[in-house]
Amino acid sequence: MSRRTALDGRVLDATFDEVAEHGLAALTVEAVAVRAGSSRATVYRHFPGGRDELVARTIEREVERFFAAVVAAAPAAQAGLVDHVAGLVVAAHRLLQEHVVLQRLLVEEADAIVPSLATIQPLVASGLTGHLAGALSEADERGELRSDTDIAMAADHAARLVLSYVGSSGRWDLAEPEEARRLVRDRLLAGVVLG
Amino acid sequence: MGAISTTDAPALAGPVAPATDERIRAAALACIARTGITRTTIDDVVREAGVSRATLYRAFPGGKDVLVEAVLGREVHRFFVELSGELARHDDAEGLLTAGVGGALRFLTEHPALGAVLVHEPGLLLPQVAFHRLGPILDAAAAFAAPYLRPHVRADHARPDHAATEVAELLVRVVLTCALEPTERVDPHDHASIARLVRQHLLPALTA
Repeated sequence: MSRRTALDGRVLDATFDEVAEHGLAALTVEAVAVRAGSSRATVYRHFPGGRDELVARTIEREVERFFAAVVAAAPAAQAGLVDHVAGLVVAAHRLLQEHVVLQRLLVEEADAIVPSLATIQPLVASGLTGHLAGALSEADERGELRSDTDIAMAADHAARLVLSYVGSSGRWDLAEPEEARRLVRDRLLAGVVLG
Repeated sequence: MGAISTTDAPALAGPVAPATDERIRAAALACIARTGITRTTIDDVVREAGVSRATLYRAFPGGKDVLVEAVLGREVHRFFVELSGELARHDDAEGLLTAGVGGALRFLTEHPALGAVLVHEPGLLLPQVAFHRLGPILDAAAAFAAPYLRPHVRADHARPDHAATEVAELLVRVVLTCALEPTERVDPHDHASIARLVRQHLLPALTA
């Protein structure tokens, strides 16, 4: 890892810890620099966008880590499309509940955090859409899908709904694997998965 | 009405005629469509409506916040009235879903004030429809849509009312996500595109 990358990582760690301890509204570049053992000038050299860039990059990194953890926690795609997608929903729901920092931000600082999430949202959506397109293609090869399935459209549809249900579960108890399985089988993938 | 709109009568002078009230709301909506909510001032609305400040404050005693809330309330009401009109014309499930999802998406994506807010000040709107705040919106919209869906739930379903509400909530999510995060795969103005979404994904979810 280059020195530059190492410092960037340390600065993002410091940003995350500052937000975790003091909240997003109180975040300053100065405090991040002190915590990272660096100077304000150096932080600005690496992150010319200052505070906004630190926040955006930290969220982006957390989202990537979160996504990797969700995929790792779900049953492999080979186990069957419905079980895989239901597993993604359950894992994402659980990890979101357990993500203490994010939970606090969402409840206490929703007005500050959601606009940042809105800029990250397209990244999450395209990452998940790509992942689901792969899982749908594999399921198609295994003969799990109806022959008239438009995979790109199904991936787009399933991704936006998975994100919607994970973000706000509404009337579904997504801590229950059977509930999540029924949601995915009967509502999200009803038109593409063979009975 | 002439006296009310041309003089700076004190607030105690009595209620504002409904037509004036309506003109102020329409003017506020036009201002928001031009510059968004934050940059719209009471003076802008007064000029647009051709009424006095006193008239405006008599109609909306709290000023801008109350006026914005009233405009919002009127637009939500109009949304549901227009949608009921569309839905009442369809007996078959596919026609109902296509009209409902297409009509709702067209209303939201063509709405000039909503479009301006999304472009100029997304931070004002998005927190209101995300995470735990989405719950009440889902409940209200699903309660509206469920009765239309109920006749189309499979006859042997163990909990048909429950199923209708679940599908109603699903449709609300489809409409909201497609309106807020547009996708090239769902074009509100292309009937065939909505019909494809309905046939491939929504009708099977309703009849599952």
